Amino acid sequence: MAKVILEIIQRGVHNYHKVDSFPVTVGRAFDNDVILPDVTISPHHLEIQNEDDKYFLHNLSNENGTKYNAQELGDTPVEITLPGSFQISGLRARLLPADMPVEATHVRDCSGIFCLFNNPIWAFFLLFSTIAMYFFGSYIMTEASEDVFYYLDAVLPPVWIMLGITVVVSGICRLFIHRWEIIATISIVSLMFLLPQLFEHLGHFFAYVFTYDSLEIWLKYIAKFIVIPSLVAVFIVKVIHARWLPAAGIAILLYSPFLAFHMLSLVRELSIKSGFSPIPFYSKILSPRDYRINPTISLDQFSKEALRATSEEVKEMLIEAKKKEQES
Amino acid sequence: MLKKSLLFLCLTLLYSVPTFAEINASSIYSFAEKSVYQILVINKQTGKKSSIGSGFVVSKSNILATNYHVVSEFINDPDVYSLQFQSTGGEKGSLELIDFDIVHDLAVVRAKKPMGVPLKISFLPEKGASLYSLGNPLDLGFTIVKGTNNGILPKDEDGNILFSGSLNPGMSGGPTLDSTGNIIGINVATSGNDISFLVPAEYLTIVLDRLKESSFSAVDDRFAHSSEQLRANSKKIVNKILNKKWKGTRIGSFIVPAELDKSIRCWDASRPPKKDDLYRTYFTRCSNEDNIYISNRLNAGNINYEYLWLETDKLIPSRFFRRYQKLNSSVIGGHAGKRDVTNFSCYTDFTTVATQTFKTTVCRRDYLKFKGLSDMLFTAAMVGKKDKGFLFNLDFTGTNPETALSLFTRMLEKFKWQK
Repeated sequence: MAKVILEIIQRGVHNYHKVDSFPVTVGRAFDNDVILPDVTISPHHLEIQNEDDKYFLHNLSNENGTKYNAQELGDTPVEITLPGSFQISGLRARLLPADMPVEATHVRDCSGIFCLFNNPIWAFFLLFSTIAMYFFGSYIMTEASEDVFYYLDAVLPPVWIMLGITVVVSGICRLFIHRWEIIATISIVSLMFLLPQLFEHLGHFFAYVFTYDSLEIWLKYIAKFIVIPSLVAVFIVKVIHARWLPAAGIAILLYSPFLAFHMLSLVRELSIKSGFSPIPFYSKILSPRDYRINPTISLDQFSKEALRATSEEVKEMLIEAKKKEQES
Repeated sequence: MLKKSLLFLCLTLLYSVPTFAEINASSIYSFAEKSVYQILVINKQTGKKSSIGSGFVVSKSNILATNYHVVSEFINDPDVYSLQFQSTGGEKGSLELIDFDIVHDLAVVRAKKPMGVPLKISFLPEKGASLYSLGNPLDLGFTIVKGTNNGILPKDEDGNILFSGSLNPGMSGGPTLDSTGNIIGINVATSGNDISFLVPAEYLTIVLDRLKESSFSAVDDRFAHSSEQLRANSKKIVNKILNKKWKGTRIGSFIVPAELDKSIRCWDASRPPKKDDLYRTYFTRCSNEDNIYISNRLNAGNINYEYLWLETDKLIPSRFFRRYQKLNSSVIGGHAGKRDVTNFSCYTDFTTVATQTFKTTVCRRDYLKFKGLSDMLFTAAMVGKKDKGFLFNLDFTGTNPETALSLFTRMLEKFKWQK
């Protein structure tokens, strides 16, 4: 049985070398025990030595060198404790005991809600629901009477984008995990397009229920800032079998250009609302279903309450304006 | 007895000759020339004129009258601007503001030395009488313009005189004289094509009488003075409207008040119906078409309201309401900025009006310098009907909030629902 395992990660691929006899040499030259075909590696880069139960790293390279515990190694051997990580030039490497237990198997189970996403019926249901939602959105926003092709024209661009993303994500899955995972990808991509619309409709509904239009905006941004990156993270965990924390990191990284764009529009919206505006911001949302928390009050009661509420707020604004004037 | 009577008649004619007989423009001009001046607002930092108008000597030899809007930059920002006069002969000197009537666009200033013979104020002659307007149009030099009196504007007894003559920018604040050389109005505005407006001289008499009582002492707080006048004017207008019996007009299934007063005009702004329309709209817009000038960014005294009815038998409720909601957006026009007004504070709730439920909103913003003066915006949108919508928007500029609210609630109380 091998004494230790040398793991070298090159271009994202983990290569494992069983080491039985020492010293073992690592480098680009063909006379090494472990050959690394990377131009940043010296022909004879590193030697791993064993004395009793101790292991030593002996750097032989005076070019890009070897790093252990964030220290550049000199030309004298340095002891390494197992399991230990080090860097050969820019490549990450680990020296592991041969009996080290491996990570538990990620079972491609069908437990929980994700099972639905692997089901082709659900995947296509989500896809068609998303398309239907776009169709409905285009239909209710169109003022004139139009034929069906007009609405299709509005629906097709997002459908093409969804299919494009599906192909790209499936391709990435094929590269990393050697499976296309097309059904799960269709499900997640559909949800990424469906949920923001659903949140927008919910926002509209609740904004009327609570007579508070900002709810619509907040729900729209929750969908953009939280729901979509969360879906990406869930996909990475469930399909690529990464851990939650790295998956969340990758999701944020992948989504960061969109996050930056949404952040910009949020900041713009907040700045309009926080600064001076000649436009009055009041609750303008109207709904055919008159569900609401606020009861209907008499005109007299409304007048009194409106005068009281606006007087108080305007008084504060006047004090604030006076303060600013004095400061300037 | 006959001899005595003839002698009296002759004396009267002789006495009247210089006043009544000279009714050509050149004699009027030479008579008034020495009493008319150009009024300039000067930027203290650059020494250059920022705005120009005209003025004339009235009441006392060192007192001049002009328009409020001619000197408004100075009134609103006396640290930046100063006032000057320039005579027809080119002589210059400084002026001091002593009083103004912002509602009727009048201002009274004082010079440090006698400026000429004060012109006399008289009543408006009969319609069709010749009038002579003096001023310095476009800074081109003093001119006289002959026109016709067309009386007080019929839409409002408080309104201006319609002068069928060609007033031009720079003539504002200049006097308009009758054929006897007496002031009957002050040049104030023009709509082009010989449609010009004069402030009736009687309002200047009121300011001058007030000044006489205070021995021509200058007003202390200009902003408080403006606010007080504007609030009182708004209250007067609204009370006048409230005391009128309003006629109803049908808009969709509602009977609503239309012209509240003769100062208010309503126009139909409905979209012409087409065969393939998915919904129908009826739109009526009313306004008192009045704007009291406060500064180049602020106006007051404007009252606008509109009714919009929508109905459909072709659209599903969600689609109809998206359209309805899009129309539920009201704003107040103008150029008020953050140095003039606060942000809007709005309050929304649901009320019952004429047996129907309305989502009703009151928005208010206060003027920063003019205490007690606000812009008010009201909206009421009918809810609860899946295929019908009704919007009522009302807005006021430069008013007192309670006054505006009283008109809004009274108007809503007059709504009637008729299927």
